Amino acid sequence: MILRSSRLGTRQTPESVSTAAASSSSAGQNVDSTDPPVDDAVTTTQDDVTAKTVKRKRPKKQADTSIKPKTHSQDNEGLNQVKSNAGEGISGASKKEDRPKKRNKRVTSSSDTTPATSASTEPEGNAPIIAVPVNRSDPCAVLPTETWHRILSYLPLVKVAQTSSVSKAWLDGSRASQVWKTICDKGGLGKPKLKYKSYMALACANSFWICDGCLSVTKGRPRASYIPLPVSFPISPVADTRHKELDVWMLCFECRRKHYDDAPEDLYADTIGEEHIYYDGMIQMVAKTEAGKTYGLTEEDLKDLEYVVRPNPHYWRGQPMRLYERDKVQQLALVTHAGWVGVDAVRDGTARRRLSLFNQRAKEVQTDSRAHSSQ
Amino acid sequence: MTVILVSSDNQDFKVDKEVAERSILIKNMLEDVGESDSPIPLPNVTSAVLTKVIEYCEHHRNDPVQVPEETDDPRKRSNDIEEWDMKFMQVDQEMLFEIILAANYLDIKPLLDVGCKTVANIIKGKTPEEIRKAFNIVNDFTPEEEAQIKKENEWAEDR
Repeated sequence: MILRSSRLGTRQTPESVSTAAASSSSAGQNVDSTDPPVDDAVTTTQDDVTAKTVKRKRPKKQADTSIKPKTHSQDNEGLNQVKSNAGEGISGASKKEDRPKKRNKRVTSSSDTTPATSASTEPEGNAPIIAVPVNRSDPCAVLPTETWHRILSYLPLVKVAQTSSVSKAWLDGSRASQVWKTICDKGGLGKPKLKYKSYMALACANSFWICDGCLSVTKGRPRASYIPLPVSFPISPVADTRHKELDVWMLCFECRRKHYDDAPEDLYADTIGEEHIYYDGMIQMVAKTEAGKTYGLTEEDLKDLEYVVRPNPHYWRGQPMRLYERDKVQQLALVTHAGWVGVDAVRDGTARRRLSLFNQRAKEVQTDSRAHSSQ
Repeated sequence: MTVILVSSDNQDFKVDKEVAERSILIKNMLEDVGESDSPIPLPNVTSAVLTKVIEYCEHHRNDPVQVPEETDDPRKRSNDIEEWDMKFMQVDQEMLFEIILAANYLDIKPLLDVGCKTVANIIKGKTPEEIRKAFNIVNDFTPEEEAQIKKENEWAEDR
């Protein structure tokens, strides 16, 4: 493994592991002092500005440590109940372990402990240079919680959930994000209980219905296209372009409509699936049943659209058919279902499929938590 | 009018007041102190980082001041970074984090935003394992814990 801090390297060349640890523990202090003050601390009325900024470093640190346990206890609300019935679940155990370690990290980084002690507080000890108090190449460790959450707010929720398995610090970072509680409160998902132990887990269980944009929960809405559906965005060239396809946001009906208002989609010239197209001169036409089958439009949706009447092509005695201009039908469908992705979802029965997947998952979790409590 | 900023390693930086005031912290300081040409110490910012920050502020000296926080959209996309900013942010990761810390401390919101977006973009296309590799992070979960965490926080997708 390589010692990543170039600044350390220039100051002193570490000859052995212990000197490397020593220099990085002093780097830990450095981090401490570069810690920025709280947001509103900027508005100051005192004259001696200099003295104030110097003084302010400490309170920030304290404020920071006091935030951590708070979010823990909030997360543990539900967990404590679980423990009383269920003994120790795995997540309970991991949290317990987690806390003293966190504190250790802070103590060693803020006080002038010898490198020997800071090294011994670390478990396993497989990579001594990595296992220093603050890993300066880990943004979650280096940056203040508030800034970390700002970074998370630029990620689709699926990504935020995924990052929780990077390390314990990242798990804490994602779990402590206010976003999960906002979702649960806003969407009426309730509070974490036995089944889902944290707001994050509760939100994850309902992932099918949560919009990455406005955080709304659209479960059981009247139309099949009201659920969040994937919309792709061109990723910034800074990001790893190999995974371009991953910058996909699940957006609810309203957010999609806003998006497609700004960036309208093209109409289809080719036939969609088994679509049957009639011609009125050069103009492509579709029948009413087709507008329902391919474009998910009901009679109610079509009521303001002009049509022409043609004799039924299948049975000469059958009902005459109504033909609509295909372009107009497509435009109407795009508005009605907020984009092609919405039209497709209606045709494919996405909402129904999700509901059954959701129920299936919920059942599995139920049996899981029962199994835990009977242990 | 110029002001003198002093980095944590005691280097002086002479910059235009207009440039320095991109930092709300410094702006407020100058307002509080009034007319004075005593240097402003920035004990939390090293000269290497301050050089970068000043470079950013110089380039954006004429930008309109950002309206404070549009709260109606809780989640934002990170693909709207200007080309200059993107190049500016092409530094090693530790420097990137230092810049973010400095932007936070000095209260330069546009710089903080660009920094956060850049980090988000690094994380974006990566699996947890790739993230660990990119940031040199040790996986401190036991395999059982990791499996449990993944299961508990699985964000199911259906596209």
